[in-house]
Amino acid sequence: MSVALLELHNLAVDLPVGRELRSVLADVSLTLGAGEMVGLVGESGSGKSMTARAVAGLLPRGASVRGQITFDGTQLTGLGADAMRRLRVSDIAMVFQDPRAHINPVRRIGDYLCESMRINLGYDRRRAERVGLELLERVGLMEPERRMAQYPHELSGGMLQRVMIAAALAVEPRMLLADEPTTALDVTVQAEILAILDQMRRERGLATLFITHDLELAAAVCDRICVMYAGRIVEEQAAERLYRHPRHPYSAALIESRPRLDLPLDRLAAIPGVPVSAHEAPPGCPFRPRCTFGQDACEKWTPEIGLEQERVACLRANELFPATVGDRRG
Amino acid sequence: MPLVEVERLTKVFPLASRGWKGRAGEVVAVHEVAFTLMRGESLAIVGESGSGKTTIARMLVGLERPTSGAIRFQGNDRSTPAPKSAERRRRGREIQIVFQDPYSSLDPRQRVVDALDETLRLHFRQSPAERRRRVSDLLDQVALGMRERQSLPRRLSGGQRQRVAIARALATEPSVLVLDEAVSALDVSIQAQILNLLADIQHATGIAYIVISHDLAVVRHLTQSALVMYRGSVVERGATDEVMREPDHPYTKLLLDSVPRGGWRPQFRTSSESVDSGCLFRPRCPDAHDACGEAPPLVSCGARASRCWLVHPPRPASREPALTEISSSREPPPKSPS
Repeated sequence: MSVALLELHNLAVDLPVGRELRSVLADVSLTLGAGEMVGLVGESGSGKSMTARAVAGLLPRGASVRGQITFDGTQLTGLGADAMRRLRVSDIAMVFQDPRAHINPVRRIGDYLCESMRINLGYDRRRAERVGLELLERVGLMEPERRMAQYPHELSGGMLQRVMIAAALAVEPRMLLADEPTTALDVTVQAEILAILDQMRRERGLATLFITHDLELAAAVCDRICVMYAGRIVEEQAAERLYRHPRHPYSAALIESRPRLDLPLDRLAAIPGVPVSAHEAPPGCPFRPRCTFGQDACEKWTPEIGLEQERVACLRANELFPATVGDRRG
Repeated sequence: MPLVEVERLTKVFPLASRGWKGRAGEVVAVHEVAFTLMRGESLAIVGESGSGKTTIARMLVGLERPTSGAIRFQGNDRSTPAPKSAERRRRGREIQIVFQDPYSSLDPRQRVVDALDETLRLHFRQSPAERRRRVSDLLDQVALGMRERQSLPRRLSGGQRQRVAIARALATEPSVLVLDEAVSALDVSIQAQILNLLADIQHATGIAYIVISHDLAVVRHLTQSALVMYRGSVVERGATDEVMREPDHPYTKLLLDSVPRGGWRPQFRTSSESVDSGCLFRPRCPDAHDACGEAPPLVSCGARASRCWLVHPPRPASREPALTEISSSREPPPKSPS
């Protein structure tokens, strides 16, 4: 294991709602190394997007942040707005779910793509356009010259997402925060976009924090997965192992509740109740009210999870889902 | 008699005058689609965006008028607009729809019980007491909590709203419910609750479902037969489980290969230009060859059908008795040497 590029240590975030502060993240610790893809998986309110926004320094005004965010040895918490912006320009890129909402609709694709290179990297127009064309080709867009002259509404969602990735890669970032980058896309286009991300991390050691609600998808493309619930990481394991041998009742229940293409058809094991955010979580284990295995002790327990890359925040994990490390699997 | 019969259903949308390079044009959203639905059956329509699946849903419920073709419910045509409101309401009691977004399909100023009450008042002659009992039964059926029944939609979660949308659709006692991506926007744990609910309702009432979805696992879970659509045309049809286990058409194979799973290695592809003649899937097809310049017909063999020269080669063999040409193609059919 190389030295981590990104390290979160006991990150906690509260957001102001009216006069009170509401907790959205609690005790989030994780690491991400160069060339790694780590999945942050959870439902609405789990805090997965908020974690990425905290890393990018894009939290709403008035947010209170505790704990540490370290990028390549630099503390990001408490970093000034200018320094944070420089970092976003040079090292940390983001890709979002809905490219249409993030690309100016009245400007041409070429302008969108070249603008940041001209401002941030000081390229002249000709150089920016040349690099822009290369980037569009690299993300698999046909006829890049024609695309540069088109407006966003003339491109499909999949093409626009390729443009957004091209723009994110223009500054040769070291880390990519990908927030549900394929959720609004067709499955075939999803596969193509993930192939591009996979290629980038292989060829250039891009570290990727991949945020998704889709555990199957994360299991298929990530190295490790952190499952989040109510603003906390409740389990982390190597991706495939987590999918095959989940150790937290919530991870297990999530996998069970999805219909499958490869198993006989049965009634789905739905999880009762609704997902909650951190400020709605009951005392004790936040998943307790929806958990099949909950006991009285779970209500008094303070959730804790270690810092290792194989960890689970469940009082009964060892008894319910014994650890299956490497060859002891079975 | 089938409950719903759809024949040569076609929808052409005119493009606004400034098409690509200034040309006006049109888009064939749905091209000569045919299917039947029996009472209590579940049929899936799958495909990517632009396949025409949502346009079919909208034509089924009368939100869109077909350019040509027929939609019959128990033998009665419903593809032309209903002149009288009584006729429109009658059609509303045949086929109902649940949309993807439960946040925009409910009136934000109407309490749940009032929304259902209004639907009942419109369709049935019942006393207020009868309606109250029926509203309560419907909300029992979708397992909505007592407190939520008196609430405005904004107080409800996505899953609760989708339960309300289902209850409202069931209020008219339809024989067919169209589910247009009805579980796609829900959290995974809530999606499972709604899928189980839909299975229970079908078990209890014998209602037929037309499931429009891009999610193949959801489709496999809910339906017995499936249509796979590509750019407006049916490219494959068959029992859902068979189509997913042994797909014939290269497009169906591509869809299934794109579903993430263990050991999955997504393929890097260059985005492709589209074509307007011949086999429309040709630019993306790994097996495209010369014959694909001609549009293949949809050829059926028992319950299975597919539209591909590889599966049904353009030889006299395709004229064997077991194979029947059941749909003409957009292009004139290839002339076979006779």
